[in-house]
Amino acid sequence: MAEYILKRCLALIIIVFATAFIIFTILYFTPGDPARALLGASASDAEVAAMNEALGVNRPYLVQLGDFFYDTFIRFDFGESWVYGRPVYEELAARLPRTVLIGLSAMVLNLFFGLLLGIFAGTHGSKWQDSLTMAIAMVFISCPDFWVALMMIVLFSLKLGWLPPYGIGGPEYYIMPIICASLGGIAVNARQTRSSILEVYREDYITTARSKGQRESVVVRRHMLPNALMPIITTIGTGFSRIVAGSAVIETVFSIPGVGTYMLSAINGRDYPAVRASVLFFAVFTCIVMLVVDLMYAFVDPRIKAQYSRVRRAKVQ
Amino acid sequence: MKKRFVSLLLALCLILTLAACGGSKGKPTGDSSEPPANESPSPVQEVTPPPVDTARRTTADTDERYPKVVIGLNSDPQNLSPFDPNAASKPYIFFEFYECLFDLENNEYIPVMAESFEHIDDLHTQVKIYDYIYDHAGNHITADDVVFSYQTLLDSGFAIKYSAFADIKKVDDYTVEFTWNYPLDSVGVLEFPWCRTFIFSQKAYEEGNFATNPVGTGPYKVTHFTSGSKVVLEAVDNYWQKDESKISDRHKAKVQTIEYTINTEAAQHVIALKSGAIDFSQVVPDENLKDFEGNEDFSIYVTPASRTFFMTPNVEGAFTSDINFRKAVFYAIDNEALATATGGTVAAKALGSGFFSDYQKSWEDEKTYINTYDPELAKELLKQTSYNGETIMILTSNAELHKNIATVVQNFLTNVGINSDLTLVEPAQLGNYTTQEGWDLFIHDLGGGSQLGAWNRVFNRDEFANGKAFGFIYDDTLQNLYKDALKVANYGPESITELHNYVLENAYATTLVCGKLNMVYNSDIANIFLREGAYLLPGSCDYYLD
Amino acid sequence: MTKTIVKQEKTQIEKIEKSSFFKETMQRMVKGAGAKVGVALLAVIVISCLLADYIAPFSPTEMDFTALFAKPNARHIFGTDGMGRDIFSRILYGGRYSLALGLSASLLGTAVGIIIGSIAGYFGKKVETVIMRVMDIWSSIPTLLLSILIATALGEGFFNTILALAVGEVPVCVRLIRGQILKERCKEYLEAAESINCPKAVIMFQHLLPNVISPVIVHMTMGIGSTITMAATLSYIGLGVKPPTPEWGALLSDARAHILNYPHLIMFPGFVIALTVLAINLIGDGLRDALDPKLRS
Repeated sequence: MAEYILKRCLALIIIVFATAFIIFTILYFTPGDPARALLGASASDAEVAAMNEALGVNRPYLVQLGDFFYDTFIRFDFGESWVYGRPVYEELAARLPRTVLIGLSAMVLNLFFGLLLGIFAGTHGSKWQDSLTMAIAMVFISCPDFWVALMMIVLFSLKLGWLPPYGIGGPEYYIMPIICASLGGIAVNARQTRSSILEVYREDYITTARSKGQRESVVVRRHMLPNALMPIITTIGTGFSRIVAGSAVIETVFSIPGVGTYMLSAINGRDYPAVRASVLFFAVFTCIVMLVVDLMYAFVDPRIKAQYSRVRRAKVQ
Repeated sequence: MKKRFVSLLLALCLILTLAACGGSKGKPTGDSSEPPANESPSPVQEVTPPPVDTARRTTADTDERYPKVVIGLNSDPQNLSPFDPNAASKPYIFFEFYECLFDLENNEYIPVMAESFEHIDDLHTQVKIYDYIYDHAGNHITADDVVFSYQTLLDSGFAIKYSAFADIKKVDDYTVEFTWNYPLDSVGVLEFPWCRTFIFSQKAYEEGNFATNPVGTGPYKVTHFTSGSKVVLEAVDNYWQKDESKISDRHKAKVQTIEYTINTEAAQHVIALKSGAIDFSQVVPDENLKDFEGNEDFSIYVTPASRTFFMTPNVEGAFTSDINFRKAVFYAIDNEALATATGGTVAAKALGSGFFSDYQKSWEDEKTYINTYDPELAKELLKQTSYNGETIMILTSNAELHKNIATVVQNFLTNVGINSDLTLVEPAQLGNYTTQEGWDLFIHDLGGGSQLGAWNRVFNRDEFANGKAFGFIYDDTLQNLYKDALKVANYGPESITELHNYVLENAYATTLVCGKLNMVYNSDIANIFLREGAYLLPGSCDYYLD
Repeated sequence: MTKTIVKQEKTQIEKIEKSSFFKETMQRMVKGAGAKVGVALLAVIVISCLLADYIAPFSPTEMDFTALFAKPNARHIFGTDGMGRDIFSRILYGGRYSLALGLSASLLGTAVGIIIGSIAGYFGKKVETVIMRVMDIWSSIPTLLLSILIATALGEGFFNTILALAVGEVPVCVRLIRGQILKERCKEYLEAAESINCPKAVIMFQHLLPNVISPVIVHMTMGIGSTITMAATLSYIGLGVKPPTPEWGALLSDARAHILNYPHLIMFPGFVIALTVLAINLIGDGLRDALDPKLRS
């Protein structure tokens, strides 16, 4: 097991290098240049050319790639954002907590309510509870997130005056963004859970457990849930990436200066240092989440754990 | 079977309820069975603000300050460095806490930090600054700091429109000397070197980080900055200019705290205004203006903006090289309908915007292809060209307003038989496409300090790397007319009109719509002060104190 | 006499053998009420969109400047937008683009994901490790951002949008399939198939895949709906299809600025998207039930 984890950590380093290379190349071949974005439409062509030269974007591909890798991985200098005028890591450090707060809270809500609704629907399969729950889930998936956000703002901010319409500050500023960010995920998790539970429902060992006189709740908790958990864990793992990506829309509507809006404005402004650094941060984050997910596979399903140990034992022999 | 239908019905009901909730929370829907005849909203052209109620006490009468005002911005200033003050929403913020040597007013240079200036000869000017200027950290501003400020700006690469500037050097502790590249005989040539270059202390700059914690000399200082969210300014009690008579309106501090909050959604601005979260917004959509009519808590003020949408043809294009084709295109577009359909704009009636002081109203009286909509004439002119249904390319940016304008223009062209395809590029990169080949019509917006200045980026071929003006125009007469009109000696209605008419004769460009500011604000603000007619200066507005 | 009986028996056996896996699945699927409703609903939507030329009362680009932002009425049953274009007609024509976008992007992403995932899950060891690490790299860049980057690099356009939307689907499907295969890999029927020298491809796609495909199908049906909504986000940023294409996502983002005063602009396209997603999900559920080997008797 420990060997496996070590291997994955080494792999993480390779992944980071590869992601850095991919991101650099995509940006290099994207049309447009930073100087025009910085100076605006009224600057003359000569002024734009001069600034591009000063920023170093006219140098050959390999030179720029080498510089980037040297700065990032050897000097750990992520560069200064051309748009924000301060080191990238400073800006990210300020913004990351807000995005992570919304993301993690939304994930917790997704997990909790998704499992709850999914189990409720799955164990009542084909009855009205199942249909009703899935119908509600359907509705939430179909509504565009900015529409739900604006409707909530009209209700809670305008009509009732309970919550502020946008901005950051105390916890009351984050309530609506977290709810909006989690709605879609709850529905997806509920559906996935229900579908897994329904599959497991028909397995022989469930019938056996019931025929032994087990209480239904114990059957659900001890027999159904662990076996149904695999796809659910996968969905949660990918849900993190989904929430981070979806944060761009939520952050725009609620005007929360998080990493989503930072990346959007960095891409628009061709702020190469900022885009590269933020994507790398996410790469590392996501890889760690994936590693945790894979480890949970082994934790939840003893057969997989055995596979890894079997491999080890076989090698030793 | 039944249960599935029930679930389907329930789902539909839920969706409808959510949607209907949205409907009832907005404006009440009227009886929708009548024919739509007069339902179209017409663009609100201009609304004068309510006059100041002289019976009430305002900040104009006393030294007392109004406590706090919250301004809604719709773009992120991103950083507070003193360079590049024209980007995003910086013009709304910077001029409260940074100052320049001069202010620009009606093409005149009003001294601010400068006490006086003297032209030594054609290429040299000496400027003397006050000897008692201190910044917010208490640093004394001297000629060294002035030179440093200019040098740092030049090193940063953000010194645009600096073609006249050659050098600056210190003469004595409070005097600097500017060296120019050519005699200063053009209008507005020092707009950027003198009125958009901020002066700050070298010590403060080197010791701190101006991007997040700027130290300026203005009537306000920055106390809080969260990029993407909020900027807070506090009035400075020991503003360096002690002589009241020398403090112009632009450098007053009539409110104690100014808070700027950022949100890019116009709908959010409306909600924030109604719920009292902000006190001022200038991006209220046309359709929401009537929400605030008749409401005592709000005042409405609509005024033209400098932003003008031009459509420039490619004079080297396959069809657009033919003047009849160009005129056909221009006559096919109805600017009034265009303004109505795109919202937030007013129709252009001549080659510019009524916002500028050097715009001549007389231009609107003549019938030109800008203010005339004549599809029949367009079709006639089209027949005289070699056009036979081919598809031409309209290039513009994918920003909301540009996109909408281009879509409506495309529709008008189709109505007279011209087929077109839209190509949208990112707004930040739009400027790069002017010299690229392949487009036939280019829709872009321009602003500036004067009408002539706004035309710079269209007709002045010195701006472009390929030596031709916008649309690949290479016309010596045009260039000479433009340069001559800029000369201080010639500057006036006649030379500008000559240029205007020459452009129209040759169908070099047309204007479509002009921007406007739809301002809605808390009625506690008695009088709105706009710097250069376009940028709100909250510190200079008057407020009711009772 | 015996010859005819044998012949009859033979034809009967042939008939039974000819009934393929696909046919069986379809037959089982339409037995369920949910799938019936889903198929019917989707058919109505798809056929209306295909017949838009005959059904739509107006052209999707025709602008009536006397009726801007008209609320639903007798002439424009869904109302008009800010340029006087009929919403009902735009929805009908737009369906072609949105359905094509959603289906193509999802199918493309899922198909590629299934193939890669099956290879990874079945062969295991080094192959699995390499593929999963590549997938890690692929999925370490958040989906929307990857789509935005690719759309920015490729530019606007229909096929570029499909590519930009499909890239996000692949690693998710790979992980899902591989996770399922990890569970199934130790089951006996696979050992049995291997022991009779069944070709690897046959084992993968005929024996293994039907047992593991359920979550992927469920995921894909959800994916079509979210692909359509993601196209709306791309349209908002300005990277989707170019105007005046009446793609449903573009209709949603056009309506964004007017949500407060003219909710009908977002209600009707949103409603149609919801119906379509519902129909696709019902079909997906029916398919899942039909493919479940436990129910096959």
